[in-house]
Amino acid sequence: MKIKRRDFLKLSAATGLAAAAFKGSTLNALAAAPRGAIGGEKPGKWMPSTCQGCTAWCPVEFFVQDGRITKVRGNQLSKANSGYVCPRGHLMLQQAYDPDRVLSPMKRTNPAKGRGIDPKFVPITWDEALDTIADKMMELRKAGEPEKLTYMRGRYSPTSEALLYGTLPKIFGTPNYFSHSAICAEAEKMGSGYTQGYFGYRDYDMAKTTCLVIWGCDPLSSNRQVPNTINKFGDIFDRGSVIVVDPRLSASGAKANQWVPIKPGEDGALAAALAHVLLTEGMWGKEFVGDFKDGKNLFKTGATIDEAAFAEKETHGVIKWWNLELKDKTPAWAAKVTLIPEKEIVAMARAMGKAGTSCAVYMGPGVAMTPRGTYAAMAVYALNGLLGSIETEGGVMQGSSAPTTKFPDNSNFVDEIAKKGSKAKKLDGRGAKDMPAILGGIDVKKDKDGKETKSAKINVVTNNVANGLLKDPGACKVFLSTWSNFAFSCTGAQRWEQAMAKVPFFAHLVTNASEMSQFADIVLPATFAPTEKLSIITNMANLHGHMSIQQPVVKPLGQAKPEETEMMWLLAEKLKAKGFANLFDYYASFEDPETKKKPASAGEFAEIAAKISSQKAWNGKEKMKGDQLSGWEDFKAKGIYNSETYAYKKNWGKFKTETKKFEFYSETLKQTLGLFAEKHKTTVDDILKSSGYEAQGELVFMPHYESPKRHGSEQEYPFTFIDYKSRLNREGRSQNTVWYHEFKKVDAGDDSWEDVVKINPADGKKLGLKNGDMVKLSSTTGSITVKAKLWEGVRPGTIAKCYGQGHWAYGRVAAKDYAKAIPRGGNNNELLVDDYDRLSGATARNGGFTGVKIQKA
Amino acid sequence: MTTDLAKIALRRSDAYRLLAACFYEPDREMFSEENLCLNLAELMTEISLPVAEACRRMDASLKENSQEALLVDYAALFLGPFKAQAQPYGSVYLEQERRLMGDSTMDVQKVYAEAGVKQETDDTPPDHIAIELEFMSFLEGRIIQAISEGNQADQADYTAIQARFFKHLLASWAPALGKALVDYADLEFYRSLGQCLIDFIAAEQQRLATKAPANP
Repeated sequence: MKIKRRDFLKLSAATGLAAAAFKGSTLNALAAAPRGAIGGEKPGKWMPSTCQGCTAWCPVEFFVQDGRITKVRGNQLSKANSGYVCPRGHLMLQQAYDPDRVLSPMKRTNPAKGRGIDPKFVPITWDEALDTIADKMMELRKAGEPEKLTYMRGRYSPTSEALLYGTLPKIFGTPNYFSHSAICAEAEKMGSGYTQGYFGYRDYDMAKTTCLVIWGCDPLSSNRQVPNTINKFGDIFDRGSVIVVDPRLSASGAKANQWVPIKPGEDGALAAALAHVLLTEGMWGKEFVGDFKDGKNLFKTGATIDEAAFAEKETHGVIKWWNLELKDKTPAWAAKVTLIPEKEIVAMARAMGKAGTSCAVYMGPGVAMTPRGTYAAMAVYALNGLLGSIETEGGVMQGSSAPTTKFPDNSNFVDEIAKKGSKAKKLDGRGAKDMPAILGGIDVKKDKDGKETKSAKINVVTNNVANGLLKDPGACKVFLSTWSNFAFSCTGAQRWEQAMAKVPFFAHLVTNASEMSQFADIVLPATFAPTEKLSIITNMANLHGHMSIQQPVVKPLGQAKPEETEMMWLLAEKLKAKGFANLFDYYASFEDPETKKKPASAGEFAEIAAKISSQKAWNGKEKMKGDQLSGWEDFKAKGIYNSETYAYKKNWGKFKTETKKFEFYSETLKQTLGLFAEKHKTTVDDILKSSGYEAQGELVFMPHYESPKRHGSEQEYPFTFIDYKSRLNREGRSQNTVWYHEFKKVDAGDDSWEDVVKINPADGKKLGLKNGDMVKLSSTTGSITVKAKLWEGVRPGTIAKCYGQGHWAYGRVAAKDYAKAIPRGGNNNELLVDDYDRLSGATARNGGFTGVKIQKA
Repeated sequence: MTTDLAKIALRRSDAYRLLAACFYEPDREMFSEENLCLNLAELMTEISLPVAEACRRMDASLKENSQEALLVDYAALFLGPFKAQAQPYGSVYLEQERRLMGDSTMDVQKVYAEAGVKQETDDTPPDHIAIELEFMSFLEGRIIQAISEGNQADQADYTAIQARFFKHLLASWAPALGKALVDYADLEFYRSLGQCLIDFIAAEQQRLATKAPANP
């Protein structure tokens, strides 16, 4: 807050009292106004926007009264959440009004960077902040090294991200832009990707499901459609059963008919055994998979089958899969590795088989985000194929989408310097022989003459950026990041601290300063997106896609600005003033789809961008199969466009695989890996070996069991650590709200105002521990000290702790003592080792890949 | 008599205003050129408040320290960005949930409307200490005007609003802010500002005690 008028500091003259007292100049923040009514509030109203507290991206409404938000609910018109939010939605009130939010741009005055070192931030204006950033960027352009700009995004809008992530690096000229996605749940997509050709998150027909198998996630708490699951969950028990496979007793597990506390990382074994039972007992989906030509079931344990004996329908390679992988994977074998009794495995398979095509296997990151997770994801997902529950009543769907419009092409604004810079090597090491990151299948490019070139699509390896920075500290001179906190949210978090300390200039745009901001040269205040940012958000659930507005339902707090639109416009203006106009010229070329007016300010740019993205839903020019909207104002008022209902079996016969079929033997993976190996002039087996997988030969191309990788010997680190998410985690951003801590007990086994590690009572007894003892947990990477909770919801040998707490640099609630860098609780990512499912590039954070020892603290 | 009252009220209005100025982003040059701290000391003496010494310490500290040093301490106390040690917003002290824009913030907004002022820019919650102090200065001005015009109804009205606002809002949290400044400030400027706030509010509490109704 600045003093606007020097007169505010002057003494009143002693004469002419009334006049002196009434000089307008004696006011600074206030101005005289007509006297208003005393007491009473103005009537409030519900205003639509979008929550982005988890990946559900729920359409919501805020009750706004006197310029203040007081309540939250689901958008009443939403078909994805039926008008409800989950518990985390309510925490938005405390996030929006968190007194520790960054309210002003600030710059560092202490050049020393590190944990516990006070950056000595001082307030600056947006103008100075953007001027400094633009100067640093121009230095790179002038030196012909634009690739030394790195941009990393955390949470973003699925439409306006294209204005920052999709534009700035390209027009400026850097290949070094990285999404957070590979630390999220990306390896899951390998499951449906290399079987069904769908590299995306799935939807479920939970209103009709008769057996819901929740595997490696807890959709009552987190994972993509929480309100919809809460809404539909109870009725599934009336129609059938819920089975939960999770090493930890989750919220879903606590309610399920059967909780299957699998040994962490052994999901592939259980999946193989279930498939074995489904086949040997004749319970596969015949309409989808097909049948033996003579109708006689030849799936007998241990017996190889002639491929010609089976006529497949919508699938490919079921007999190969049986012969090479499944024939010996009996429940008795699986019982030994999974620690789930044989009888339970058989019972589970029969329950699934009985439900058949209305059994949905809802797979989550717990299966996939492990070293070698690709194959576990394929094995678990393939059960849907085997049951024939792909796109069936009660089954598993591909995603539904909403009709967004892309922004104008920016290629004409890319100059020679940018083209050259963009070809430089990326910092994340993707596509190396030992880091294929082939999430996406085959990329087909056509040249001018229509000649096709095929290559493997290569995806981001977010967490490896820190290793890239440490290996080559000179490779990044200017680092920008938005809505992120990689020094906390990535496994092996300590590496990020070392890496960020070496970056010469770092600007961080966030709602709250965090561990990553501790290394920032400039911190910029971001709008709290759900209540202050204008953008268009798309997602799906409950068999509908939707397009939902996110808009400022109240004025942004302090000087906060939205990063992808207004900040970019202002930065582009600065770059233009310094001689690089391409970015600005691109933005300024946009046109309002209604009025054809071009943007003249940051605010206009943001609105035009939102209108461009959403126009098909409301402009009346397109025939919409879903909701009918009369115009932009109607869309803003309702806040949502719901698509038509998903049609069952709509992709049967045209899956985006090489065979158009559901591939138990993945020709798609075979070709992708073949192209990748060819590029490295080596064999597929060599790629697999270099990347740390066990399989060789034909097994590589099908769902199969790989034993779990573990960091730390069983002798030295006897406990297997598992991480999970709270139903109150808003990604990693809610730990500074008091409600998070007050209500933490809503997570099974957790306590309010604590960050407990849950240990089985039998282990507690052996270690001489009682509830409330402080324990030091150590892995090969680091140590944290937290409170012990003896709890039967984890099996002996496994310990569980929720992710989210352990902040040492955050606001007054999340961090115990910022000045002394003392965390409240412990950050799991300081224990978890930096490792990957290298085929997808996804960070390992599940599956018990980290061994831990427990010592009394 | 009336003139004397009005004169003291004018000094008091100035004291609130100059004290408010001290809670803005420091501008060493402007503060020095305008003799902010010593003028505040003089005002406090004139209205018989024992805080002049603290104001003089502020002046000395202003002279001793660089603009950057002042900004660093100002930011650490009021802005953060991690944990501001002396949150300048009333609601953080008055609401159970340590939040901005609480019910108490809305109460402040209502009193502003009742008294006939509005915030010129609304990017700062209205219960920022500087704005609340400025409001007290404004009310004092209205009281002086009423006195000088012989408008007893207005005088009584504004006096009542001021006493109510002070008792139920400002004075219920400002001392806690003052203590935070005393406890956490690195520079004497802000330590003494905290003491100054505590003492000034305490003295005003005595003065206004008889004027506030029991219930707002």
